[in-house]
Amino acid sequence: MAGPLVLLGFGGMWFLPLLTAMVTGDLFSAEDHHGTWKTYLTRSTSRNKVFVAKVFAGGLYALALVVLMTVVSIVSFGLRFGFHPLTALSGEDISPGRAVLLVAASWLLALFPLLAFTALALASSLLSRNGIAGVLTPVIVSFLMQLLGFLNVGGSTLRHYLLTSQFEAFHGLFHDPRYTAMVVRVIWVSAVYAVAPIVVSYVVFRRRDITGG
Amino acid sequence: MAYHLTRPRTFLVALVVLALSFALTGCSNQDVTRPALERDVSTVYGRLLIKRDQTLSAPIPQGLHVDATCYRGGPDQPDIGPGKDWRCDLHPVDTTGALADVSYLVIARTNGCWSALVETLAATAATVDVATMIVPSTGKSVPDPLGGFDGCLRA
Repeated sequence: MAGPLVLLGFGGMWFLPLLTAMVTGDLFSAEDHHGTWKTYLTRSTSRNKVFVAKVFAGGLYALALVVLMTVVSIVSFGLRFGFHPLTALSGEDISPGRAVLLVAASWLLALFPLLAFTALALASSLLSRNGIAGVLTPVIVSFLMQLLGFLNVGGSTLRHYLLTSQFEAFHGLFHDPRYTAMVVRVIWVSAVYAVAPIVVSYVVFRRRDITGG
Repeated sequence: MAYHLTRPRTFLVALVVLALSFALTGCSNQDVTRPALERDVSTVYGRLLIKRDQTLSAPIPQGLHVDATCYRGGPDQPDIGPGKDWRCDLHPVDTTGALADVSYLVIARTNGCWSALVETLAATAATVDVATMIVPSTGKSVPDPLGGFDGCLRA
């Protein structure tokens, strides 16, 4: 059961922000590109509904991504290497059944920073009106945060509040006694990172002039 | 005009103050500290020692207690922060008395996770990543959990 965790550790560093940005980074800018805002917003639907629907679609994609990764990684690694007891980070053995539950919980924790990266992708897509910027901004932010964490700039104080560090919160589940502070932090830190770009996007979207696009 | 410039300036000053406070507190605030590493390495070692003895069907040490002394290389190097130059000397004791002492080279990472490699193995380049032991009941060679192990500190 260590395989899915290796995938999660690697994914948080490299491909999870990219995977969400590749889809959600184009959700708003595609309308600018095709000039379809007027088509939507002159119909019997409000800007609020369109905005909420797109944000909801982005979040749903992130959720689907995490569920898919959880199921596929557990099943494929389980079938290939078998379901054996897992040695935890504090040295004790975890039974295969409990290990599967903890692995699923670990992926669930990764959903929170992933949703924050999704929000960042949506915001950059909306603010820049450019799909490439929408895809690249979360990836670049992820790289920069990883660099700050790797170089230990600001010590542990800053590192604890980087969005990329939140992907490692699952370490707290595999330690006896549990590091619950890490698990709690991943939720509120990710929420802060997610809410800020969504609020800014909403304000900009409400005021945006769509008559030209 | 002056009013318009005040806000960006205030924002910039706040940003610099925030960055400086992070940098300054960061110097003294590290997840990787000597007490934390000693506590975690000794705990993991103790549990893996019991696991190894169970695998080998050897007598399980009763009332096991492991004392750890961790430090970084060089007298000028303070015993704090991530790095590849940590070393931990472990002194396990059970009800029968002191067991064999053992030393590990420890790599501590910025995220609070660490990897320990038994010193005798680390010195032998040819076997740097594999420590094995023979299980008497089966005659099979299996990985020795005490050859190298990992852990994560509270971060």
